[in-house]
Amino acid sequence: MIKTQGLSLGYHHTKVVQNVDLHIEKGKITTIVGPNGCGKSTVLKGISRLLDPIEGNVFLEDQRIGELTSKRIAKKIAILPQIRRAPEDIRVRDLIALGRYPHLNWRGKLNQKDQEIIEWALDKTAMTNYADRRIDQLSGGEAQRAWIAMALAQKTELMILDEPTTFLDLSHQLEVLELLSELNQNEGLSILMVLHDLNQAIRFSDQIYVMNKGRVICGGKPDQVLNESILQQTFSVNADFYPDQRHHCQHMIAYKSHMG
Amino acid sequence: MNSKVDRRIKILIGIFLFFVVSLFWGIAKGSLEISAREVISAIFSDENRVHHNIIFNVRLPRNLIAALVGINLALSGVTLQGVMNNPLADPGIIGISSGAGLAAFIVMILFPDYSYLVPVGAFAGALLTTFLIYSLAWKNGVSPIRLILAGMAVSALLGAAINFLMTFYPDRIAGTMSFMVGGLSGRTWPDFRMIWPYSLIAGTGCLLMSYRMNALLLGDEVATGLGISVERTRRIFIVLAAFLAASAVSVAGLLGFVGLIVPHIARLLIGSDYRYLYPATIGLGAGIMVLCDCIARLLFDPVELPVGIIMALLGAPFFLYLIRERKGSL
Repeated sequence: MIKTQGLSLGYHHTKVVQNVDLHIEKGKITTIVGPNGCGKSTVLKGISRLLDPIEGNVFLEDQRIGELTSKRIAKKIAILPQIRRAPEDIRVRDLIALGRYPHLNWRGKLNQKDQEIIEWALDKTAMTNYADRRIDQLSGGEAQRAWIAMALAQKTELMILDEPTTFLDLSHQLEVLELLSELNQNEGLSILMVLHDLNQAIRFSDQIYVMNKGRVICGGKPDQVLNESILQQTFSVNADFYPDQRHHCQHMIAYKSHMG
Repeated sequence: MNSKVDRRIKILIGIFLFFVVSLFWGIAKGSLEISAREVISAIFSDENRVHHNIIFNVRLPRNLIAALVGINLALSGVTLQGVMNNPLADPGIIGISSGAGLAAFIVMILFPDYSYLVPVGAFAGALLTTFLIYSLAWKNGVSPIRLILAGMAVSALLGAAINFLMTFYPDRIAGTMSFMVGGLSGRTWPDFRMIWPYSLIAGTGCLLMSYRMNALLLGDEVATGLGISVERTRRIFIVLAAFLAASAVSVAGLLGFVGLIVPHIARLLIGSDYRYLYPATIGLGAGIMVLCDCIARLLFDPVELPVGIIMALLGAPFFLYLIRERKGSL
């Protein structure tokens, strides 16, 4: 779906990310992990055209992303950045309707099909009962689901999310991740995201890229990628790995070396 | 949802009724009182020649100009508030007041014989200043905060130039008063012809782009994700706002209050969905301006007050009342 080739990104000519080669496969959940400041959010920005590359290229289905119009990309990729805002009095349904923006003609009128997609997005995210609520009357978890519903209404093949679990309590974190996993399995939505919690990344991802100091250290299936030496190298922690019988993946418990 | 839409449509109808009533009142009231029925008959026939003349040559153009000035300033303000994501934004922020002010001062003080050039000069000064501020704020695109700061700096600079002129030509300040406060005294058809194309074109532009403004309100990154070229959209909106405000200022002088407060009154009444907020701002801008201009003419008749004073005297308390009544919206 998306490939990056020798991608370098930065702000004001200072490179934050260097020579990144990623391959985001169709129908998969891909997660980028790494310590604070490693450049993972910057990579997401590069892939979602919020930041122009200094060197290298981003390819969307073999076409350079810089050669596509923003509107065409918007029909293929939905993004949910961390920096976003909404007028406090906007209703959930109106927010989700804006997800249809790239599909509308110049008059911006929603047709029957758009309305059906909005209802579908409400239903998928379990927000139907909140459709007429104001966004400022929602809890953090509900608001996150509303934003995901907006991205969903865009009807794209890929959704890019920058730390979708930040500021949510554990229950709402799992709710969001299970929602994404469900959308991936039942709707065939490809997902690229940044996560902080490594165990959540292992459990919910098909593919993980580990970044450190602006470079990609390794990438692949979760149990192949995350091991003791990688964790030591990138996060400066030691870790023990245990099998998680319920989710058929590994579970890790990390500790700082001097306390081990 | 339907009831919600209905409510907003009802508010819009109410706002436009308010405008129509204000307009009739504005035409009927004055040194010579004309009843509503006479207004209508005088518009559609010229039997009563005195009334017909007063209405057609004096009251009608002046009230229409008031309406357009109100529309332009309010639309400009509400557009800038959206684009800058800043509730304090008004046409002054992109240098309209300082640019028009300095240009008008130069004409009025240095070249008093050419005072008929004040409107054209103010218009050009306003647009040039907007262009200057936009260029100065440009650095791989224009961020709202950089634009606001550049605007403040440039306005301070031009303000210094105005003060410089005032210091050296204290005897000529009196003539500049009416422009600085803003007023519509003696405005008639030529002024109307100067402003209406801008109201029509830029106003239509705003209305057509209202849904794009809604998307822009979600932040630059979300808007980009929705396929909007944020930089270009912002530039279009700023150009529209600049033309709206510059044409208004060139006709009416520096009316400060309309561009800031009318959008907020509209927002408090109808919410921040620009598909409704834009029409509401148009109706309120026109209605409030016509009403205030009428009061300004009547209050100390035959002495006319500059409408800017009435605007602030009536509008500010009403606005404070709205803020306190409507909790949660501001």
